[in-house]
Amino acid sequence: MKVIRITVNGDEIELGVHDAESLQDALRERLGLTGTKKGCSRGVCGACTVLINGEPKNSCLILAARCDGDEITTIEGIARDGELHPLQKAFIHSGAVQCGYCTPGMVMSAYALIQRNPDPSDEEIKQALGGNLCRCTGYTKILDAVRNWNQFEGDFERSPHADDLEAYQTVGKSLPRPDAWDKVSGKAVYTGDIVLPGMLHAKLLHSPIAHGKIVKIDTSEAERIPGVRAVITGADTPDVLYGISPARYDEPVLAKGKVYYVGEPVAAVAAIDERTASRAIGAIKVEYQELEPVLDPVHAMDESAPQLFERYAGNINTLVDHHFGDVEDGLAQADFVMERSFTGNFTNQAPMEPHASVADWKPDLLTIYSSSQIPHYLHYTASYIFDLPLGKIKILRPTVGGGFGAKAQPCILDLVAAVLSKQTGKPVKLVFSREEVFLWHRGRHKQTITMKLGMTKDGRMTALESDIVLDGGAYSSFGVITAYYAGSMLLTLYKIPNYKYLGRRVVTNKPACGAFRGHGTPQPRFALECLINMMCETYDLDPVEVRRINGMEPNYRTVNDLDIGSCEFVQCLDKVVEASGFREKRDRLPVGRGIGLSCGGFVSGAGYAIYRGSVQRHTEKSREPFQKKAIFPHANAYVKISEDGTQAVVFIGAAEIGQGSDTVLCQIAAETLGLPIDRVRIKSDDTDTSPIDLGAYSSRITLMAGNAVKMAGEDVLQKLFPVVAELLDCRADELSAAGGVIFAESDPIKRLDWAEAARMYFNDQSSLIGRGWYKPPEGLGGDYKGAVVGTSPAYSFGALVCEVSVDMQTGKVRLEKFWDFHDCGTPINPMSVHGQVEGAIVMSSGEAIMEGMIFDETGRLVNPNLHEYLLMTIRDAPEIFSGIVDSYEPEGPFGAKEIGEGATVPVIGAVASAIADAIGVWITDLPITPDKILAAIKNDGSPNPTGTKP
Amino acid sequence: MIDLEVRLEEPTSLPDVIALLVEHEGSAKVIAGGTDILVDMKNGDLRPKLLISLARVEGLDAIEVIDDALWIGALVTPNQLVADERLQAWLPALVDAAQCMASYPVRNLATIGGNLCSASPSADLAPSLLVAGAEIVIYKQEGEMRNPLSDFFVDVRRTMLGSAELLTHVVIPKPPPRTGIAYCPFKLREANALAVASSAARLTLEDTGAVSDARVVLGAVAPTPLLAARSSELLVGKKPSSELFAQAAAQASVESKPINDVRGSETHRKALVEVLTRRALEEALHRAQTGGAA
Repeated sequence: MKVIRITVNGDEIELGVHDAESLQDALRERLGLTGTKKGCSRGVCGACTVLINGEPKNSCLILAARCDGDEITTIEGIARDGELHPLQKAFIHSGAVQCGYCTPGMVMSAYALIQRNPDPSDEEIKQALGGNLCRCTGYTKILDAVRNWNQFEGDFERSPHADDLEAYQTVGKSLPRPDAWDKVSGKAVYTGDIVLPGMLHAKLLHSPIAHGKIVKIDTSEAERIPGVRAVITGADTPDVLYGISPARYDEPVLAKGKVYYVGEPVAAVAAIDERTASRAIGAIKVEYQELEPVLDPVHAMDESAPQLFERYAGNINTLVDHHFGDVEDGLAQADFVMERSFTGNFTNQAPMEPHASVADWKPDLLTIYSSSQIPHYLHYTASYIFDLPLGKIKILRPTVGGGFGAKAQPCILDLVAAVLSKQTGKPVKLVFSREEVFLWHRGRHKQTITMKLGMTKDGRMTALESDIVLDGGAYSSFGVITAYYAGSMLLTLYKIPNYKYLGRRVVTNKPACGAFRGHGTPQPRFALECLINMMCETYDLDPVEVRRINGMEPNYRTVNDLDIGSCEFVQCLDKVVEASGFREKRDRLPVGRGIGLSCGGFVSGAGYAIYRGSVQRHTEKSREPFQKKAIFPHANAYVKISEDGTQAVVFIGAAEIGQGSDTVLCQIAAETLGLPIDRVRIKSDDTDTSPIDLGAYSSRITLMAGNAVKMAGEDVLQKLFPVVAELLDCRADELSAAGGVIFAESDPIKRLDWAEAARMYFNDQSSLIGRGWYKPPEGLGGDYKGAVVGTSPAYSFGALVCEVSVDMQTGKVRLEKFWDFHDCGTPINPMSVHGQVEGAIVMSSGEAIMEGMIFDETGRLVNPNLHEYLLMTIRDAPEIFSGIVDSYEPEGPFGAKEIGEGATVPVIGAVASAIADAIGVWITDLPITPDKILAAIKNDGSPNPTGTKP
Repeated sequence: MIDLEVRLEEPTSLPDVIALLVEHEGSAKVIAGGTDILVDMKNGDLRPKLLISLARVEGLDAIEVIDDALWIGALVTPNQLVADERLQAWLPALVDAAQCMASYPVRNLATIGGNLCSASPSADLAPSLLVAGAEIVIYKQEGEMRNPLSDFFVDVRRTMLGSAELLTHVVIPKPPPRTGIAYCPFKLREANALAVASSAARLTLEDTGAVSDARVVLGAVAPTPLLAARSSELLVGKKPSSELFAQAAAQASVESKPINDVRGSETHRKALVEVLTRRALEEALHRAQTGGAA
C-alpha cells in the first residue's frame, strides 16, 4: 500500500492505494467516481480518460500510486456548481449521447482539446478524439457537438431542427434524451457501477480448449485462499439447459462434463474482492481430455466429422428448407441467370459497456441487476432455471451501455451471480472483461452464401435461390431464429415471385453466435444487393431501374407470406439516387474512386414472442401447441399522474439500452396526454413496477411499446375528461388536451389547466392511472414451418449510396460519404433517427472493411481485444447524409415504425459495391481488407492506376 | 487485473534505479509510461514482483540541445515530441511517427524510452531514429555509455540492455545539410492502430543533387526494425529519380522478412514495403530539396 495525496476535482484527498492498482480502479472503487468508465482496461477504448494536470490520459494505464501530487479531473468535475459546461450541453442537444458509456471519456478528451484550442478544426477534433471509441453514434453528432460547443454558452436558444414535424406538439421533434444530463456528467449508473452492502465479487474460469471432456476439477486450493467465499462448478448449477428458443435449449449454466469452445465458463469464484477472486480462479485445476474440434461448418456436415451433440445429426442445429412459387420455372423465364458465392465474417457487437450483473438472492426474492436488452426473457429464464415463480424474481435494468444484440439473451453472468449469491447469502457482482465479451460472443454468424438470381431482359426478377451455411458456434442462442431470418427477410424489398432457401445452421467448437443488429439479414442482403449490381454490370442493366421495377409496394403479400403495410421503398431509392448523384457518378469516377448502391429494411418488431403460451412459471404449463396469435400483450404500459397533477410517469419494461427508447416513449406519452415533454418522465428499469415489455430486440419498441404507451395515455384522458366535462359543462368527447391545458374544441373559453383537472380527479377518485398494451395482429404469416420468423406489424425500408476511395497501391479504403434515405414511418424524434442511421453506417461499414473475429486452427480466438478487433474511430468515420422520407404506418403510434436495425442492413452491400466500382474487381469475402483488395487488383492484372475504368 | 503482490518503487536517482535492478534481478521491471508493461501485466504475459518507476528520476523528461545534437530524455512523451519546434525542424519524420502512434491520451503517457525498450517490431519511433543515425545513452553501475541505436534491437521484444542497465537518452545528431528523412507507416485504421508495415527513408544529397548517403529502415516486417542494406546502398551515388526509387523500393521488399499475422499477410506486407519505401523516398527527397530537415 502507498498513501498518495492527490487533488481530485478540486478536493485535496489523501488516499491509500495498492502499489499496482490502476487509477481507474482507485477512482471508481475508492472514491466512488464511477463516471470514469471501464470499457477495455487496455488503453484502447478511451472510456476511462481523465485529466492529469490538465492533460487527458487513460486512467486504466496509470498506477494510482504514481499519482502523488497530481491534480486529477474526472467527468464529475467538469460541471461547476450544478451548471453544466457548454461542451456538455452541446453533447446533450446535438444528440451526441446515446448509450453514454463512451461519453465521459469523449467529453474529457474534447474538454482538454478546447482548453488548449477553443476553436478547433474538424481535423484537430478528430486527432484529439481518435482514442475514444463509440459504438452508437457513428461520431457524426459528437463531431457536431465539439465543433459547436461555444454556441451552448449561457442561455442558448434551441433552434428547431430542419426536419422537425409541424403536425404535432411533441412527436416529430428532435428533443434531447431524458438521460443525457446524467450521462454527460458521469452520474448515470451502469450495472458495473453498482455497489451493495456486503457485496462479493466474482470471476469465471474459462475452458482453454475448444472441445473436450472434463475429467476432473479440483477446487480445493482455490477454496483455501483467504477471502474466497464460494467456488462453484457445473455440478453446483441446476441440472437444466437453457437458451433463447425453448425448442433448442442446449446450454448449461456452467459446463457439465464437456466443453464446446475456448472460453466456455467452467467454474466460478465469489470472493471479497475482484483480485482475490481472480487469484482463486488461477488456483482451480481442471483436467481435460481433449477431443477433436469441429471448426469448419461445411466439413462439420460430413459423415466423418465428429458429432458434437446427439440431438444435432450431422451437426446441423437448424435446417430450413423453404420453397415458394416455383424456382425452376422462374429461372426458366429468366433471360439472365447469375450465381455467385459470398462469405461473411464473425463480428462482435462490442458494446462499449461490457456485460455486467449483480445478483442478490434473499429467501423470498431473487433480485438481478443486469445490463440486459431483454429483462423479461431474463426474468422468464431465471424462473425456469431456478424453478422460482416469476413473482419471486425481480429484474432491474440499470443504464445499459449499448447492446446491439449482445445482451439480447440471458447472460451467463446473471445466472452464475445468482447461484453464487444463493450459496453465500450475499449480493454478488460479476462483470465481463473485454476479452470475455468476445468469448461469450452471441454476435454475428459467419454465413457462407451461394445465391442464384434470374432476371428478364427488362430487369424483372423471376426467381431467387439461396443456399446458406451459418456457422453457429457451440450452442443455439438466438441462432435458430437467425437461420430463418437469413432466408425470410430477403423478400421484403423486391417482389420476387419464386424463392427457394436452404439454410443450415451448423454447430462448431466456437463461441455461440446469436442476434446482432439486423439479425441474420445483413450478410444475405449484402449478397443479394451485390448480385443485383453484378448482373446490372454484366448485362448492362440500370441498377436503379431494376430496383424500381421490382421494388416493394404498400399492402403487398410476399411469396413467403409476409404482409407489407406502409412502404415508401421507391421514394427512398429515388431520393438517395438524386442526392448522391449516383447516376452521374456510376462508372464515371476515376480508378480508385467508386460508388455503390444498396437497399435494406427490417421488421418493426417480431410478430410473435420467443416462447409459447402464457407468462407463467415454466413448470406450471405443459408444452403448448403454436397458436397463430399473440397469447399475451407484447408491450404493456401504465401512465401514472402525480397526485398534484403536474407530472406523468410512464411505467413500462421496454429496455432503454442507448438506442433512445425512453425518449421516444416519453414523446409519445406527452403528445397523447397533451403535456409538455418536461412533464413526462419514464421508469423502465424494474420488473416490479413496470409491466412486461418483451425488450429491445427485433426493432420493436417504437411501434409496440409506443402503441402501449399511447393507449395508456388515452386511457388517462378517458378517465380525466368526464371530470372536466362536468366542470366545463360540455361533453367529454368534445375535449382535447394540448400544452398542459384541457379544452373544448368548439368553445375556447371552456378550458381547464391539466394539472388542476388531475388534482381534482385524485381528490375524488384516488390515483389517476392509465393502462395500455399492444398485441401484434392475429394471423400474421403463413402456415408453413418457420413462417413466423420475419412476420411483423410493419416493415421499414431504406436505400443507401456510398462513395469510397481506394489506395490502389496499398488497398486501403477511405469511406468518403454516405447518403441514406429511410422510410421509418413518422419519425418520433428525427435527431434520434439520424443518430441510429449514422451509428449503423459506421458500425456496419466497419463490418464490411475491418471487423472480424479470427480463430486459429485449435479454435482459439486470436483477437479478443480492441487492439486487434478493429472498431472504426472518429478518424475513419465517413461523412453521412441521413434523410427521412414521408411515410405513415397505420399500425404504428402516430404512424411510426423502426429505424435501428434496418439502417444497418444495406450498408455492407453498398460498401462492397463501391469498392468493386473503385477497383474494377468484386470481392465477396468479408471483411474486405486492404490485403484482399490488393490481392484482387493484382490477380485481375493491375488496372492502370491513372487510366479510366474498363 | 494486476496481482496486488506487485510492489512499486519510485527512486529519485539513476544510481538508486540501478541498485534496485541489481537487488531484484530477474523479478523487477522498469516502468516508464506503462502503456505496454501494464497491458502485458493485465494480460498475464508479464509477472514482475517489483516495478521500478522512472517518473521521479530527475532529468529524463526533457529535450535539450547539447553539442549540436538533440538529447531526448527517455521519459519524453510522443506529444512532447510533436510539440517540440527543434525536432520539427531537425527530424520531422519523428514528429510524424510520434503523431501517428496510438491515440492522443496514450501519447501523453507513452515514452520514447519505453517505445524503444519494448522493442516491438511495429513500434513507430524506431525506424526514423535509425535512419537519422540516432544513438542511445545507457546508464549502468560502471557509468554511462553511448551506443548506436542500430545495435540496440536483438529480437522480438528483446534489446541489448543488460538486467541492470537503463536507457536514459536518445541522441539525435544534427542532420547534415540537404538531408531529408520521412516515415511512412501503413495502419488498418486512422487512429489507435499498430503499423502493419512501415518504412523510414533518409536521403542526403550532394551539391550536384546526387545521393551521398541513404538509409532505408523497415518496421513490422522482421523481428526487429530492419535496415534494408542493399536497398540503401543501391541509392548512394545516384541521381534521385522515380526509377531509382522504384528499384530501391523493390529491393527493400525483397529484403523484408514479414510474417502472417492478424494484421496482415506476408504477401501484403511485402507489397506494402515496396509502396511505403517509394513514398518515404519521395517525401525524403522533397524534404532534402526544400531543406525540411536542415
